[in-house]
Amino acid sequence: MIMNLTKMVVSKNEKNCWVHQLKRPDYDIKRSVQTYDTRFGYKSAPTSLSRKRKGEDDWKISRRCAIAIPSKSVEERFFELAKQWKRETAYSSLANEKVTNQNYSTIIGMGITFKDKIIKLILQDLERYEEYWHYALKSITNENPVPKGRVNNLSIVRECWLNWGKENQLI
Amino acid sequence: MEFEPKSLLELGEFGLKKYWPNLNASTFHKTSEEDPRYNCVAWANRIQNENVDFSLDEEGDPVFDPYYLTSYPYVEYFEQNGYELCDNDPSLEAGYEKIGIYEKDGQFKHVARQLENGNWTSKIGEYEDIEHYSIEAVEGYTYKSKSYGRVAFFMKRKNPSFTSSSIEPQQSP
Repeated sequence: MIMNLTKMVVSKNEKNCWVHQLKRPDYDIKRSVQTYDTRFGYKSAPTSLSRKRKGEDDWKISRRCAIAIPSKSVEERFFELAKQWKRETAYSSLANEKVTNQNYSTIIGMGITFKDKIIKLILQDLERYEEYWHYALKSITNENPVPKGRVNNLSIVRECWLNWGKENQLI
Repeated sequence: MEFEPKSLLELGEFGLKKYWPNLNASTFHKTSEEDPRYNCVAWANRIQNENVDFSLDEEGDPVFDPYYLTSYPYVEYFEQNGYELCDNDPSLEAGYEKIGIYEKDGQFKHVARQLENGNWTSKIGEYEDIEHYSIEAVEGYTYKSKSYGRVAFFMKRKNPSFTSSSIEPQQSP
């Protein structure tokens, strides 16, 4: 199988374009393609690559051989998104602008697929920092341990969610 | 996992200019460490243990009623706390303390409170509290929606510690 024979290297070239490079002992196939982040940090490989090898027949990788490479683990992706979210919304005084940030929404999306993992990561972050994780945790878990009308007090919100995490043995 | 400290000074000149084009070392100085537990509205009303924020409902969901994204709920909040709307004049007035409410594209963005020396104090998002030497220092229309716009409302309330209107704004060394 192609996956066993080849090694895929994804890197950026001098023009800041993603370059997928397939390395095999006797082959060196390069193709510059625009890729995009799929849902959880996986980068899609080009669907077909072909190049005529010197003095030989066409060598072609068919669409069926497209390879998806896990570029980042869930944890790495979470840390990256959380860091970006904090950086992009630190200027704002309004929670609305924080919880409608794109990075925050992506974390909620990840939480639907990798529920336990993301909840644990958020609770770990909450143990260290008082942050606006209430809406994300509420959306992922469908639970709300924070008393009505106290959502603006980050200390109470943090305490309620950490207690909830302990009760559910997630911390 | 380590996150960057939320310090205005560590944003550097370029970082500051992105959000607050008028803010630089000669227009403000820091007066406290960063603290996410209170926001600018709470700070203007001298509250330091919780946010005053009408952009979330009781359950903690973002509100989508556009009224709560404007300055009016904040004007009402300050009216309940003894302030009244006044002329758009940032100068020091004897016997009154003033606040300025910043708005951008019809949306509430920020509040700054006047100090006894005529300077202004602000809690900048999750960053530090600062003292800025003019109310325009944190105004700005750059970087898409990520700036505070302009002062749309001035409000004042009686405060006997604001004694003289002749004091010139002082700059800290």
